[in-house]
Amino acid sequence: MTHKPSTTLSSLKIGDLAVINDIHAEDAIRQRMISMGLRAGREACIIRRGRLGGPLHVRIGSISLVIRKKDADNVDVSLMA
Amino acid sequence: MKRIALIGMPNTGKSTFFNRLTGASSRTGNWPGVTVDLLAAQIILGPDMVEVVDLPGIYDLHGFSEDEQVVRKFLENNPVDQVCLVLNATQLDHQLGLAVQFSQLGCHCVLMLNMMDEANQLGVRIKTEALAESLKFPVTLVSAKRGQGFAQAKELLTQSLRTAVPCELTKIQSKLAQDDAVSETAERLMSQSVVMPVVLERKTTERIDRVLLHPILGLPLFFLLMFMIFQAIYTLGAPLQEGVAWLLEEFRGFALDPLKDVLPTIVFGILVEGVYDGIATVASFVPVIILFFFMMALVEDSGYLSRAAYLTDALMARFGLDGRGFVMMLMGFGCNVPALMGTRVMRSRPLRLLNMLIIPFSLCSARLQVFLFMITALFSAKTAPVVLFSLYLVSFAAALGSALLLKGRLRSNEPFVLELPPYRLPTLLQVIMRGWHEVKHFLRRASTFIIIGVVLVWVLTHYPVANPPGGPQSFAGMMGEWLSPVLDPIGIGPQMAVILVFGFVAKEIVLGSLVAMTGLQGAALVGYLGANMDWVQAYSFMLFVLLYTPCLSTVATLRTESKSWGYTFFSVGWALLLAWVVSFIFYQTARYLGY
Repeated sequence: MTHKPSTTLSSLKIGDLAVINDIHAEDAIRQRMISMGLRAGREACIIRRGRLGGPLHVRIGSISLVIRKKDADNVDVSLMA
Repeated sequence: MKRIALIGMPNTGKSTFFNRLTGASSRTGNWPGVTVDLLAAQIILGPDMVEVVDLPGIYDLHGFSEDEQVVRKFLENNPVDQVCLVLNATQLDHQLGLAVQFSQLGCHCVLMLNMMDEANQLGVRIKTEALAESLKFPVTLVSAKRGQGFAQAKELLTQSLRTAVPCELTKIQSKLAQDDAVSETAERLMSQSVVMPVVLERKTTERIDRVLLHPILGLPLFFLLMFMIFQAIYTLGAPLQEGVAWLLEEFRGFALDPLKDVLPTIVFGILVEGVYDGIATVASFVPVIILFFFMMALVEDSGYLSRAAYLTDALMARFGLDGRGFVMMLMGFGCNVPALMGTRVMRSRPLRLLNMLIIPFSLCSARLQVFLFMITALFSAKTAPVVLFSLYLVSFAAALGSALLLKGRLRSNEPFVLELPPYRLPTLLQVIMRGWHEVKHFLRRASTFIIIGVVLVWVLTHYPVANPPGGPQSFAGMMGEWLSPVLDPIGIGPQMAVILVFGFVAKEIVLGSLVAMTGLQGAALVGYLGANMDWVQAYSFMLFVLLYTPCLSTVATLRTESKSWGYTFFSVGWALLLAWVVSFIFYQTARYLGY
C-alpha cells in the first residue's frame, strides 16, 4: 500500500478511498470534527457529492457522515492506491 | 433515593432504552447546575425506588456544545449513584472512546450495547466479558427497540446498583486523559474484543439512498413526500375530527343541557357555554394532532430527517443557516418548543440564535387547528388545501427572509458535519409512545391556561353588558375599540382583538375563545364566521396569527435557551412587527385590487 501526497477530503472523487491525516481548524472545531468520527488514521470513502455546492457524503468505518465542502477543505487526507 | 444517569451518543437509541426502562411515567424537571429541563422518571428496580435521568446525547465528555456542557454540569452538581452508558453496538469503532472516558472517571457504570439485533444481522461479534474486564464495569448486549436482552440488562442494572455509592465528580475535564490517549485505548479494546466485518454492508439503506439522495431527484422527492404526508393528515384527519366533535356535542345534549334549568345562568354560561364548548372545540382537533405527531415520529425515527438536512444544506447555507436548521423548522411544525431546544446541538452561539429566531415562524400544530377551522368556515372544499399550503409557504418565507436579513449580524464558523443513520422502521410502540406524550401535553395545557383563558374571555365578552357578547359595551369590545387604530388597517375587527390578545398566551385558546365569545360552536360558529368576515379579512387574520408570537411557552423557552431578555424581546418584537406588516400589505393590496 503506497500513500500518495496529501490532499484535502473535499477534492476527492466519488469512490475514492483515503486515510485521514489531520484537521486544520481552530481547536474547538477540530475537536468537534474528531469526535464526530473524522479521526486521524481512519479510512474515508466518498459515496456521493451534493449538487450546487451541497455537502459530501462520506463513509468512515461503520458510520456515514455528510460534511460541507467548506469543512472538508480543512481535512487533510492521503489517497490510497 | 438512588439516581441513575442515562448517557450516550446521538443515534444510539438511548431514548428508546429510557422509554422501555421507565414506561410512560417520565416528566421533565429542573436540576441544580443546569439551566435546561431534563426528562426523568422514578421506577422500582429490585428492592429500591430509583430515579432515572435521561441526559442529552453527546459525542464525548470533552466537547463544548451546549449538550456536552449540560452533561458535565449535571454530573458535577448532582450526585449520581450509577451511570448507565448506552452505546450503539454497530458503531463501536466510533463510540468506545466515550466508555473509555467514563472508565477513567472511575464512577459506577454499566454499559449497554444497544441495537444487538442490527449488530447480529451485520455480523458484528462482541466479546462482552473481555470488554467488561478492560473497562472495569459490566457490559451487556440489548435491543431496546425489540426487547431482546432487556430482562438481563435490567437485572444487571439492579445488581450493579446494589453496590453503588454516590460518586461526586468535580472538574471532569481535568480528570480525562488526552484525546489521543483515549482513542488509542479505544482502538486497543476494539481489536481485542470486537470483530467487525471488513465492509459493513447496509445494502437496503444504500439502495434507498441512491433514490432519495439522488443529485437531481432528491430534493423534488423530498417535497413530494412532505406534501403527501400533509395530504394524508388532512384526508384522514378531517373525518376523525368531525367524529369527535359530534361525540362531544352529543354528550353535551345528553348530559349537560338538562342542567340549564338547574344551574344559575351565569354558572351554566361559564361552565358549559364557556369552558365545555371551548375545550370541546379544541379537543375535536386532538385526533388530527395525534395523527400529525404519529407521522412526525415515523419520519423522524426512520432516519429520513438527516437526509433532509443533507438535501437542503446548500440552500440553507445561502441564508446563513445549515441543513439542521431546516430540520428544526420541520420539527417546529409539530411544536416550536422542542424545536427550540433541539438547537442545543449547535455549538456556535450566533448560529443558535439565528435558528431560534426563525423557528417561531414554523406553523405549529396549535396554529394548524385555528387555520383548519377558519379555512373550513370561509373557503370552499376545493380551495381549502391550497389556502393551507400557502400558509406553510408563508411560514417558510418569513423564516428564511428573517434569516437573510439577520445573517450578517449572526455569523458562525460552525462546521457542518452530520451523521446519516441507516433507515429504520420504527416499531408501533415507539410511534404510540410519541402520540401518548402529545396527548398528555395537550391535556396539561387544556387543564391550565386554556380553561383560564376561556373563562376570562367569557367574562370579558359578557360583562359589563353583553349586547351582543363581545359587543362595544363589553370589556372585550372596549379593548377592541382601543386597539382599532392598529387592527383596522389589517382588517381585524374589534371583536377579534381580544382573541388575538389571548392567543398570545397559547393558540389553543383562540378557538376556545371564539366559542366562549359567540356562544356558538360547530356548524353555527362556522356560519357566524362566514357572516362576519370575508375571505380577505380571514386570510389577513390567519397571516397575523401565523407570524406573531406562537405562545408564552415559546417565549419562555426563547428566554431560557438564549439566557438573554434582550434577545427574547427582540424576537417577540420582530415577530409582531413582521406579522402586522405582512397582514397590512396583504389586506390593503387585496382591497385595492377590489376583493
